[in-house]
Amino acid sequence: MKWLLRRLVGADFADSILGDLEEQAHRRAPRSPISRTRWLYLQVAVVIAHALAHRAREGADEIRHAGIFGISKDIRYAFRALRRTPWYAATVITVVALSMALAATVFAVVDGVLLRGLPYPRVDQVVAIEGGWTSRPQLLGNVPASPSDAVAWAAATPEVLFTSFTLGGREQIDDGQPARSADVASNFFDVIGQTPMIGGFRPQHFVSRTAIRPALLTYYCWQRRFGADRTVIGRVVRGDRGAAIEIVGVLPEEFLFPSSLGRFVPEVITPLITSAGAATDRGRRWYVLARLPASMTVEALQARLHVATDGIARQFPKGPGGQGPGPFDVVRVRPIDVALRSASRQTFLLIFITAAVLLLVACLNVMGLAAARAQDRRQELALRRAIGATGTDLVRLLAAESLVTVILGGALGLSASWILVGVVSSFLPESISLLKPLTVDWRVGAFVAAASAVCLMLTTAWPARAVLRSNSAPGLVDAGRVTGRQRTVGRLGLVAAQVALALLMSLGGVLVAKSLVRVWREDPGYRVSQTTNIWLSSRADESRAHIADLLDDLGGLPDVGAAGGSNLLLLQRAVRGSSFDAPAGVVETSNIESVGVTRGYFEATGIRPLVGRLPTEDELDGAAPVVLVSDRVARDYWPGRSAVGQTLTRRQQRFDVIGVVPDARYLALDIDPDGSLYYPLFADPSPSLVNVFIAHNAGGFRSLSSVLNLIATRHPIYRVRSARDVGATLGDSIRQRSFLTFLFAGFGGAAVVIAAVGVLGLAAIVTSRRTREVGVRMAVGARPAQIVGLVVRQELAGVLCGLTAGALAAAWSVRLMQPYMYKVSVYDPVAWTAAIGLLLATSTIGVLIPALRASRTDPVKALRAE
Amino acid sequence: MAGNPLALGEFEQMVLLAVLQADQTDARAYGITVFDELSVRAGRRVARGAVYMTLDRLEKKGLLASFLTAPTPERGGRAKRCYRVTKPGIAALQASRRALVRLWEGLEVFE
Repeated sequence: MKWLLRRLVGADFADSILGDLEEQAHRRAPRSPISRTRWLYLQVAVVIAHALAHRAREGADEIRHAGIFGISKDIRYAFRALRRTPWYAATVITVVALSMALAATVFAVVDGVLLRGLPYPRVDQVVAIEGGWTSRPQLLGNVPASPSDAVAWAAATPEVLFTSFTLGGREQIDDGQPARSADVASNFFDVIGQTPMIGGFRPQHFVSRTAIRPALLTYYCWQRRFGADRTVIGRVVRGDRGAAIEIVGVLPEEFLFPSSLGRFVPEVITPLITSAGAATDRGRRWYVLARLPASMTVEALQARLHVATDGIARQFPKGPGGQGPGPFDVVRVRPIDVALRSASRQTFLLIFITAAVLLLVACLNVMGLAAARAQDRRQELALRRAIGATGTDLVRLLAAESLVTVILGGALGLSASWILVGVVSSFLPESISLLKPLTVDWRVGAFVAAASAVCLMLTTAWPARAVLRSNSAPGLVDAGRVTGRQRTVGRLGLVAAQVALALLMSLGGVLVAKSLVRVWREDPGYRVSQTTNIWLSSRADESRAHIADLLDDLGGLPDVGAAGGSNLLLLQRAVRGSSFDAPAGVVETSNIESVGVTRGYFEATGIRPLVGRLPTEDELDGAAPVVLVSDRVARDYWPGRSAVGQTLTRRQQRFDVIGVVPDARYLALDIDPDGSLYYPLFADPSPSLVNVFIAHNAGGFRSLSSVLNLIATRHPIYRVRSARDVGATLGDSIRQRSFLTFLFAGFGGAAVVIAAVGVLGLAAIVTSRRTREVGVRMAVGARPAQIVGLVVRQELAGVLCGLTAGALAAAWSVRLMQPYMYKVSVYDPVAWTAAIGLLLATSTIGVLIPALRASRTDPVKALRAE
Repeated sequence: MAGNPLALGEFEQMVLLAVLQADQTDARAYGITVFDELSVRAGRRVARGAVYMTLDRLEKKGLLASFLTAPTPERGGRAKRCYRVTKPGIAALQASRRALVRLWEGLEVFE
């Protein structure tokens, strides 16, 4: 207490007060020593309380009179000072704005993907159930379940509430634009715990198919397509496959469809009718969810489902129709939160860390510039201190300047993020699920405010430290002199730190960019230029005649050179598998695709035989038992032997191998093909035409409208799901890679620019401070080249230290980029050289500009000015 | 609020007058005697802390001056800080008194 009193009122005054109290205590009736001591402590406590209250009143007065008015005065002064140094102000504001804009944009995406909670009540009880095969671990979670799987899983755990849904349908709503749709089972909304906002399904909707199908609209679909009209309930609109749909309800705004495949986020929900044969239907198209009872854990459910799955796998050795792998032999149960976010978690964490590092580079940069500027203002600050300004006053002065630049930069960055978010939205691959619309909302604003506060603290701390440590007298004496060794080390340290971080980021950007270039250089194995791919779906059962007529009509169009179809889903990363049995003794471990093709297919795709021949039109039309194998299949099935002349079995029918063709990339441009088998599509009992390749004679898309018109008017059984240039479809297949490259390369580029601007700004400030020294050197005979060499040598030292430190750090951390590489090593010497060279070149330019300016100094003027 | 620094509050006037009264005694004016004068003459219960903070403030304003006496054993070996009203302090008291007298003029009915 005595210590506190001394701190509050000063040692002398505290001693005299304590003396008074001691004396008063003596004068009191000596009842007992304890009561006297208590009285003494009580009185000291009272005095302390009064002293504290007095201090508080004084502090409030000080803030009221000096604080607020002082800060506003400081800010006005900061504005004036920044107007006098426009290059410094522009540099700092640009750096802050650039980094804030990128960080805010990334935060908007990351907030939508990772941070926003799922809107399901008791979300920890909702789980996703996925199946796979032990022989193909990469497919676990990527392949839907079959109705028989779902039925078996539900039967194995009757106390768990299961539901299923299917994705990928499309409905034609009134405005003619297709809307994505999903079919959901009757207890879907019970499992996820969300209910429609208006209306809803009734139990009879799930009993049997009706001519008019009921449908729920999502909130956004209702808003956008029906103008939030509440009378829409009960309206019947034109639906898919010639059927009509009746709108029976609208889902709430916070509704989130639990689909990890973001590309199929549906707008229209229709009932999933579970047929009586579901228990034996092994076509994979169902996604399965469940809500656990409170007493059951995820692990317990997984263990019980594993037993059920194992039983089915033993019962059925091969897939439906003898095609593809058999039933799942592995099951995985994951909380819905994990299942929905797992695909993007690691990637977006890395992106967020990258954005944070960029902000750090910007802070280091501004810190260096602010410290150099404070050094330049040392004389002024020392003068202020000499005439009575306290350390707090000086720090407040510096903080006001940082506050102005950071707030202006932050506001500019936030504004720019509006534009950037729009750009990112157009690049964002559909496979990334967002839990909220991508927009700059209050959360992004709060992030920018917090980041600005951190930036402000960091950029004020360094120069403030230097000012507080300095004394007024030396400040007045040595202002304007060459910086001391300690200050030089600190400045070069700042340069080195930002160059090192910029190297890490630019290296990441260069590596992913090189990977993307490498992907684009891959030969897809089929013609890309002047080729259109049409993705079709049939509205009713199609026949050979339907397919042949369509292809005849398409082939007869004036601009069409060749047209051929297949039953393959092109470039959708969809694995179907092979319907052919592997030769005896060959264990099939890869995803070989069997493709049913029509005549004209090889002409349209430009696929030519490496060995043997292509099937003739008669063989394709007549469903002759012939098959072509791709190069990899030939090598895997008959290593060291010729594939031509071999036979393969498909559904107990023998097919002769008549030729070998190059491997083709049918899953995605960046997925190496496991091989393909081509057989006549008409060999299927119920052939289905899924896509058509059209090779144009000339003019490309000029003939597309005639193709679409022809299909719509003469072949109404087919609906065009998409019609695109093959090159564009290939681009879509690597959209996620392109998006990540856009982000990483953008960050890398921004980091290089920020680092270069930082080096330039610091070098310019330091060089201008050395005007007198340069004048003296030139006066005693130094040539301009020597001055340039001197400045460049000294200023580049930090850059070289940074490059060395950055390279050492990158040697370890660059492994984080491994998942985003495509046939490019993370230690690729070209990428490393490019990243280091880029930083070295931009930094050298940043140093050269002020060095050249210094070399043109007139010694007479420089010395006179001093 | 930046007012006249010599303008006195009521308690400041009382403390200054208590210092003048105590200074006329042999014990001189210091914390205890000022406190006693305030208690006895003004009949007010005041907190010691308030008295000490006011003495300190008046000294900082230049209305009081203080000096230390020799330490005594009964004070735990600590010196006594005695106060004397300075000329500006006297002037401030006179100004306050004049202002009060002028305000009271013609209001004898209340006496």
